[in-house]
Amino acid sequence: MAAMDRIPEDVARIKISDLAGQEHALGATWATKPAVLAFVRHFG
Amino acid sequence: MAQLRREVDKIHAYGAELVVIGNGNLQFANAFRNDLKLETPLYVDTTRASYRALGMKRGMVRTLGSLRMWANVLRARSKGFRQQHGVQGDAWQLGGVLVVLPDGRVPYRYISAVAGDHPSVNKILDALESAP
Repeated sequence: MAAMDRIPEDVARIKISDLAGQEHALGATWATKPAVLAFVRHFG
Repeated sequence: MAQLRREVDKIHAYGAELVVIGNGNLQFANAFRNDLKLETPLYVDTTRASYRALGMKRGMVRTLGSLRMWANVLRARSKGFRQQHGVQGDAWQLGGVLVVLPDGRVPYRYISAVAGDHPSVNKILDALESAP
């Protein structure tokens, strides 16, 4: 995926969990405002 | 991550949010949030499906086997950064940063090539400023 491509819908639907264990669609993180998504290697 | 966290006010000034996604479990994520006093949204993807789908790299050689990685380790240590509790998540998974607009367009994408490989925060902020 190059810059300025669009995130495919199936990728936007991937489930991630908040800290309470509630599932959200990945796409919800940018649905209402631009998001800087920082994928970290690991915690710790 | 630390550099991005320091610039969160600038990210907010562009009407955007810093969202952190990790691959460890919820217990590790909560500890991470508490240790860093993180106030930005934090999520976990324990299956790493989003990492794979967005092209993040993974591998032992990328994580341990490059001189550039060891240079990154020395640089981080010289600035005082230490892993607080060891590796909490997939030790071989690398990360990256994407700027994503509400319509799904990606004006900026950085995929880490080795451990310690981080994008320029200025380039991230430039992408936010230039976003249509």
